[in-house]
Formats: sequence, C-alpha cells, structure tokens
Amino acid sequence: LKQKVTEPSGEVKPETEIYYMLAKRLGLNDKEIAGNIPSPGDEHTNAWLNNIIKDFPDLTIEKLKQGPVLPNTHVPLPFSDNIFPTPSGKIELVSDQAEKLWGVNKLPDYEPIEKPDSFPVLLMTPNSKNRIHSQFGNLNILKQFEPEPLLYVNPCDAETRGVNNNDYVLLFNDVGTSKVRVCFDYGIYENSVVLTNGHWHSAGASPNLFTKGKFTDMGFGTAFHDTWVDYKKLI
Amino acid sequence: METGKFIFNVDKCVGCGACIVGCSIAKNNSNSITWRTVNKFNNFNHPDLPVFYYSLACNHCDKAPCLLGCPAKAYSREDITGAVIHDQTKCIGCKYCTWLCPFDAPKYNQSSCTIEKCNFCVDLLKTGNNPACVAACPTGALSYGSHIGPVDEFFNSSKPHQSINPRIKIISSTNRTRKPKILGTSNYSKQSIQPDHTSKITAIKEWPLVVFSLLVPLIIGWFISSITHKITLEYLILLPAILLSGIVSLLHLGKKARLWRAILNFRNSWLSREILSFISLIILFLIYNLTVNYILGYSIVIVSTLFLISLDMIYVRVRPKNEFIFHSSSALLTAILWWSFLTGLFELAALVGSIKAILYISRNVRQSASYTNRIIQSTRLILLASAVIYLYIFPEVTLIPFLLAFLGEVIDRIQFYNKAFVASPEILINEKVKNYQTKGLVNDR
Repeated sequence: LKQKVTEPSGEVKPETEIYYMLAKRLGLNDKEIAGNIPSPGDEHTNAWLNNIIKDFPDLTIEKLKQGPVLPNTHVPLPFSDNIFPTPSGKIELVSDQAEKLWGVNKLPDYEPIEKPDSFPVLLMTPNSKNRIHSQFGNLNILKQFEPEPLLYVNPCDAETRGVNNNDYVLLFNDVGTSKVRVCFDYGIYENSVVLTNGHWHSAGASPNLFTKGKFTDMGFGTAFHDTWVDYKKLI
Repeated sequence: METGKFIFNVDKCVGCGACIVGCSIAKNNSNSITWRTVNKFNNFNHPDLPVFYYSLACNHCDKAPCLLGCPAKAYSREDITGAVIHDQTKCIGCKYCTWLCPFDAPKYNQSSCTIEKCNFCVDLLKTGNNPACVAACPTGALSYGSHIGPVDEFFNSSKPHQSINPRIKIISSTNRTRKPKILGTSNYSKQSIQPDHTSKITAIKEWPLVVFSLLVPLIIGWFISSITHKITLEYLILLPAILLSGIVSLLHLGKKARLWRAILNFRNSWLSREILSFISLIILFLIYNLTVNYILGYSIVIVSTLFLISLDMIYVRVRPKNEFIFHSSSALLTAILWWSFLTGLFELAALVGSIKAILYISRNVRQSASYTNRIIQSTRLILLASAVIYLYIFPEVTLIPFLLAFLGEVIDRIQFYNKAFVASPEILINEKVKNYQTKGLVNDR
C-alpha cells in the first residue's frame, strides 16, 4: 500500500471519495453505496481493506504498508490446474452460456462488419503512452510530446483525399465534428484512422465526440471500436 | 579533465522521451523549449524500413563550433568536466550557433530572446552522478561513461562526428531489424517517408541579412571608386545608407542592447571580425567625410577588404551543397564588380562578371531544378551579361548597367540564402533514408 507522500493541496480528494460523493449526489441509497464504495476516512478504508484480505490470513494492513506481499494463493500460471469457471469446467468453444446471455451463435464465427456508406473510415482510439486515458493530460511536461491531438492516417489513404502530413482536417460523423492535425503513419490500415483516447475536450478533439452509446455484442462493454467517421481537408 | 561521453545505443531506444522529461524536470524548463530531442528515423513507420531513434542534446564537442563561432563569448568550457557551457546573460541572440551546430543543440528561446542549451548537468557529473537524461532512461539506451567496442558506422563516420569530435558514441548492431513479410507494400509511395525538411536559413527568415549583404558591398564599391577614381560621392545618401544597413542587420539580434559583446571573440569568430571591421568602416567613412586624405583612403580599402572577407567566411559552414568557398554571390566579388562598374573599368567588370557567371552556372547545373527555377537562373545570368555588354557599348552611362547587374545580384543572394545548407540531425537521418532507398530496402538486411 502506497503511503501519503505529501498533504493534498486545495480540494484534492482520493478517487474513492470522489466516487462516493458522486454516488450521494446521484441519489443512490446508503446501502447500495456501502456495498460498492468505501466511505471517506482512514477508518472506513481500513475496514474495507480488512474485509478484502480476510481470506488471506498471512496478510495484514501493517505488512502491506511496508511493501508488496504475495498471497499464498498466488498461482504463477493462471489456469494451470486446468479448471475453468464454465458450466462444464472446460474451455468451451461451443457455449450454451454465450447463446443464452448474449444471443450469439453457440459456436461464434467471423461476421463481416457492416460498413456504413456515409462514413467509410473506422476510427480507432487506442491508448497513448503519454497519458493514462485522460489523466495527466494537463501536465505541460507530457503535453510537449503531443501538443495538440493528432490524427494518424495512412499516407496512401490521405493522398486520395488530397491531405498532406501536418494538414488540418475536419473529422466528422453524424454525432460530432472536430478540427485535427494529420500525422502520416504507414502502420495504420487504409480506411481507418487513429486518434488516441483521453484527449481533453479543451484540446479540441476528444474521441468521445464521435462514439455512440451502444453496447458490444458480448459483455456489455462500450462499442467504441465500432465508430465510423470521415475526414476532409480544411481549406 | 573528465572525458566521459554520452553513449547512445540505437537498438535499445524505444523513443519514449523519458530523457527529455528527465532533462526538463531537472532544469525546470518550460515545455516550449527542450534541451534534448529524440529524432526519429522512418517517422511514418514505413513497413520497408526499420524504425529507430536518435536522442541528442549537446555533445560538448572537443572542437565545438558554437564556442569558436560565438561572437559574444557566451560559450565557455568548464574546467573539470570539459562541458561546453552557454551563459544566457552574455548571449546576444544572433542565432549563429544554431547555424554552426550539426546536432541542433543550441535552442533559441522566443521569450527570453537568447539561446539556451544542455550543460551536461555539470553539478551532477562533478559529484559522480549521471546527467539527468541518462538517469531517466528506462531501457539503458542512453548512458554516460567510456565506450570500448564497435560503434555504428553510419553515424560515427558522418561528417559532424568526424570533424568536431563530439563526446557521444553511437552503438548499433548491423542486424538491427528483420524485415517482416508485409503484403501489398508496392503501392506505398517512396516519396513520403520522412516529413518535409524545413531549413533553418531562408531568405525570408533572414531578410535583414539579405538586405545588409546586398547593400554594404554596394556602398563599399562606391566609396572605394571615389577614393581611387574621384567619383562623386553623395554623402547624404551613402552615410545614412550604411548606418541604415547596420541598423537593419541589428534587427535579427535577440538582445540588441548587448551588441557591444559581439566584438569580443574576434580571435576566433568570423562574425565577430565582420562586426568589428564594419564598425571601424563606419568610423573611417565618417572621418573621411571630414578630411579627405590618402592614408585614410588606403586604410578604408584594407578594412573594407577585411570586412568583405569576414562577411564571406561567416557563411562558409552553411554554404549551399557542392558550393565552393568562393561563390557567385560572394560579397568580395560583388564589391569588386560595383567598383569596376562605377569606375567604368570594362575589362575588370567583364572578368569579375565571367567569374561570377561560371561559379553560378557550376553551382546550379549540378542540381536539378524546376522549369520556373531555370527561368529565374537564366534571368540572373542575362541581367549580368547585359549589364557588362551595356557598359562596353556605352562606357559613359553607368546607372542602367548598374541597375541591371544589381537586380541579378538580388536574385543570386536570395537563392544563396534559400539554398543554404545547415547540417542537422534531421538531414543526417534523411541521408540514411536515401541510403536505404538507393541500396534497396530488402537486400540490406
């Protein structure tokens, strides 16, 4: 457990406390909150942690404060006992569970993606090495590596649109638009572009401007890899 | 003196930029200026070429061109570590060091109007620690110390490494990358592999210097023709003109109030010599205005020659590629041309004109040029030739041939600045890309 190195400045709060306050403000009841987020303060946090480590008799909060401790249940290679958390206890290539839960084929197969006519370019939004999503996006020392959001584009793709390296383009779909600078990259597939996630809206090109509120076909994830856009040169 | 070097292993660098962050934190630099730069080879990740990085700050060269070239003695060598130190309080902001350094180590700060650069973290080195950039490198690509063993042939045999003995060793294994099998690369255009290179010197950026280097040889030519041939001098035009040229040339200085420092390094720096001789020239002109005498006249001829040679020598390191030290827009040649025009010495004008024409043709004929450029180049030659011919036919009329020739000189001088070749890591990297392209991309590895 990392210990405090400095007193928090201003109104700085731990993430858990921010979530707690948000939950309160959103009107969730205390019982629901108590099961999911520790209440503010050391006392509650310790109680929360003790509850988590109660299954590991070797571990105490004091020990963890001194440094990392490997729990005695640690398995170096996951699933090396060949037991899997499925109904059959095996790796299930054919899965009744998947069919029941997500309404997909028992044996999923490749399905070609539907390409919308109006927006033919797939927008990918991977992580940048310079931030953790949007965190640290305000630090000048890191901003120098990407002073403004860059749209990575395959040069051959850009050529057909008359776009050069360093040009500004209008990135758009039916949800949003923004002005971004183009950076050539042969590592990008044709008909797709890359805008790293976590750009601050104030910087002008948050990928959230283009994504839609829809779920993935399995797992109730956000379908942010299914975002279609187009771009054109700004004159 | 300590002799440790930066050791940079091209194979280990992943281009994360931690060295830059380490440097900026240690030096408390704003993010607009970073003393270290990570240059990228194959910037667009072309699948036929390896991707690698080349992290550079100041290499504290044994024969540091910045230290020798700085007119204001803002650079010095630190005794214990041998680091090349730049003192911002002595800098006049002339940016001459940015022309001279092949590693782009001196950075011009727009807000302080002076240069700043890496100081080798001398305080850390003195206490036996590594520089901040080295300490921050997570892969061990950048280290400090002495290196025995093979070095990267390309980088270490490049001109900057050979000529000024930088304190950096570049290591790489020759089998750096295996080429992955990539399908459908044939339609990748070979042109767009690196971003367009932007030259540090252009005629537009350095317009005060273009104006200065065009006007002053003209004024000198006129002055000397009056000394040698008693040609009428219009002091009311000439004196303000030379003062104005001086003031215009001041415009490119970041710290104009520190101009006096510019003459301090006359022992080593051609820029310092040029400024010193220019100031002497103005003083001599003023005195000559008051009392015309021969001794003064000859000293003006001598100081003018010194000035013109210094002016040409400033540009020796940045002259266009394939250019001789003596080139067609050389200030010395141009001044002689004006002198011969104004005194009606047709033979001399023809000789100097021919030399200029030959030098000009030899520079341009070796380089491919667009149709428009060929027309401009021809115009420059036609202007020069017609000026000399005009002088031959009408020896008593001087203004028209002079104007024709002057237009030609303007074209040549502007081209000279636009074609100026300033060594930089970017150019070195572009050269390596060309190597790969000409040698064949696949068989190389």
